[in-house]
Amino acid sequence: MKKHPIKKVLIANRGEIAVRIIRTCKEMGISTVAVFSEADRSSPFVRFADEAYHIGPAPALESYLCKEKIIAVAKRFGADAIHPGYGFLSENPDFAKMVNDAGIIFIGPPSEVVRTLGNKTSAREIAKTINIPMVPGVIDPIKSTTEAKSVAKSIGYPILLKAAAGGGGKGMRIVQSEENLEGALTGAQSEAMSAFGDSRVYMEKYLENPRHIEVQILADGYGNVIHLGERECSIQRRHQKIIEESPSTALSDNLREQITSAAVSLAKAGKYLNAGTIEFLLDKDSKFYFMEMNTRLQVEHPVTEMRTGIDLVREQIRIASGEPLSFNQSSIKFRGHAIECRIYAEDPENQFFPSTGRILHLSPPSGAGVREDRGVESGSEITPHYDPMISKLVTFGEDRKDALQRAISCLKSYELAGVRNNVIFCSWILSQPNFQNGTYDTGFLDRVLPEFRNQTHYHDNHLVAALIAAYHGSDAETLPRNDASVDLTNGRSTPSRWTQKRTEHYR
Amino acid sequence: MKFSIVIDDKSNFDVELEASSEAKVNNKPVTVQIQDWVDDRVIINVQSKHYLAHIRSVDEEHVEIWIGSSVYTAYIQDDRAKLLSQFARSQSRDHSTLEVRAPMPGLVRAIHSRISDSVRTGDSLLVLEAMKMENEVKSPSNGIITAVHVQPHTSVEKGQTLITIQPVKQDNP
Repeated sequence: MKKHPIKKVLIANRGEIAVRIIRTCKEMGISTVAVFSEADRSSPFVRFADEAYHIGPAPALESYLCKEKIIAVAKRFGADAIHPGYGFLSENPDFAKMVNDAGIIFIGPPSEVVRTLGNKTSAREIAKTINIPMVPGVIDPIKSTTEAKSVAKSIGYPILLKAAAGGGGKGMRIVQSEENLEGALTGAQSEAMSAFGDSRVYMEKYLENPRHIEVQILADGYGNVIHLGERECSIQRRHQKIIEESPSTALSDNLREQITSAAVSLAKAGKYLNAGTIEFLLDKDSKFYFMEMNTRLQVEHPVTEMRTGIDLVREQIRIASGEPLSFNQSSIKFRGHAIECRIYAEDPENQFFPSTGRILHLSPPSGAGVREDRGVESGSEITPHYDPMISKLVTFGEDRKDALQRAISCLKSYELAGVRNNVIFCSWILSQPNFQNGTYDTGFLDRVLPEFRNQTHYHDNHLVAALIAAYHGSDAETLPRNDASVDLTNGRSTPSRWTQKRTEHYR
Repeated sequence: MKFSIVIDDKSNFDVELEASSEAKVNNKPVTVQIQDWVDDRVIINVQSKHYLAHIRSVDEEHVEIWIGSSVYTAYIQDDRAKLLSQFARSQSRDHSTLEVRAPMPGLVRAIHSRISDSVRTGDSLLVLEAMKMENEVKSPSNGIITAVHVQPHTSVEKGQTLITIQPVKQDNP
């Protein structure tokens, strides 16, 4: 394989993942180009890059999804590679091809591989040829209601309809009986069309509350494929992950060996290149089934980095520049336990509705075994244009208990004001007995949610809030705003701090 | 000064602020000290534990208080009904009607009340959207709606009369 040293990378993404990719580039001495939309002018990733160029208005279709604009910036400013991050154009085979055709390296698999392994239907075809277990269902997209009915009958209800091109729960329907099939099929197809521009939907048996286990792999251009262990991502809301950990409590050593081997053999069979993730479902009888492959870096990749000490972005860049993997399977050392909580601007009390607004204050925890990947800061505006993720808080521990305690302690001390968020919810989930003992599944969150909503969290804060509200009320008329030093205990403004000091002294 | 504070529609506190670092909450003394208060940012010492809080006004009776990563919505009423007089409480021409006025400029999202509806203090009369937030405008009194002056999806100015209520005295609160 020919080597092409990479000296300048354009990051076709935004937010925390852009920051994360730029960080590794800097460590490798590679210069960086950011592209940003109107809504991201003041985002930290824009300042963090060596160069940054405005590419369009806030809607992603006119900026982060605009292939031509991004490639034009890369050519004009001499980027020799493009890193797509996750989401946006990261799994778009046309983009990968256009980048290559422009003489630029796409940091990811080749376009043909994105087209095959990145598509659920064709990935299942490959998996079938090497006997990787799959959930009973059909490989071909459903063409008619009549066909859907007969297939559903043969595999048995409940069934699941899924978009061939997508993820994130879009174009997905669970159907319990035949009378609901037709409506669900139409709904799934139109949702898939509007989300992915591809209305193809396929059908499989719906597994009740399985566990979601995925395997990280790395493949170089010399036929070397290795795995970096599994991540369990069963804590989900609306089919989107919020808490991930590694190792999974559901796998025995034997099962882990089987599932990671299956992942490696699928990557080999599909001639995979670069970093990728193979997702499996694990049922109650510890049988695993191939679900899909993500042909890109994943949101939760830091969990793997914490356990292996391997920088996945660095490996992606090395592989893309034609270098062989610098380690083999036996040299990978797995250590300890890692947990990631995705902190979102959303309201767990109110159907996880995304919240928008300005972050008034943000002070995250830190310390040994704590990593936080974040693309916003105090003063940042959470807009409705993009994913409302604020941060990824990852903790490491020598064992699961250690990592969990560290995560809970970090979440409890996390200061985030101005935007409703799920910090308290994450710490509550981690404290639940069934999470603590590792016996959870993808239905866990929905089962415990009513209990969370019925509880009053941090009751002591109610007293503090009431006192502040009273002072705020008393201050409304008597106190000038912007006064730097006020003693509100007597409802008056004081010119200096000495009065305060004096009262302290006498107390 | 005495206040009646309701946090998140569930916890009630009678707060009495005194001219010292003592306050009474539900008639029990609490030691409080404001260490710093600049703009919307407060550092407060309550019973020897220090807290950082951020305040955002919602309307004249409601404030959001952010502590840690959570927000608490406080409904404030002072003893002298001073705040009430600024909001909703009418300067009515005669004492037989109350005019509920817009606490801020905004867009009327929904109207929950119709003429001749009977309402109780605190009932939601309409929803006013301002600064991308939906704010419930609540009834300042028990009474009967005698006029609805606005239509859904129309903009209103601060102080504009929204609804007129004929107050009714009731023994049960």
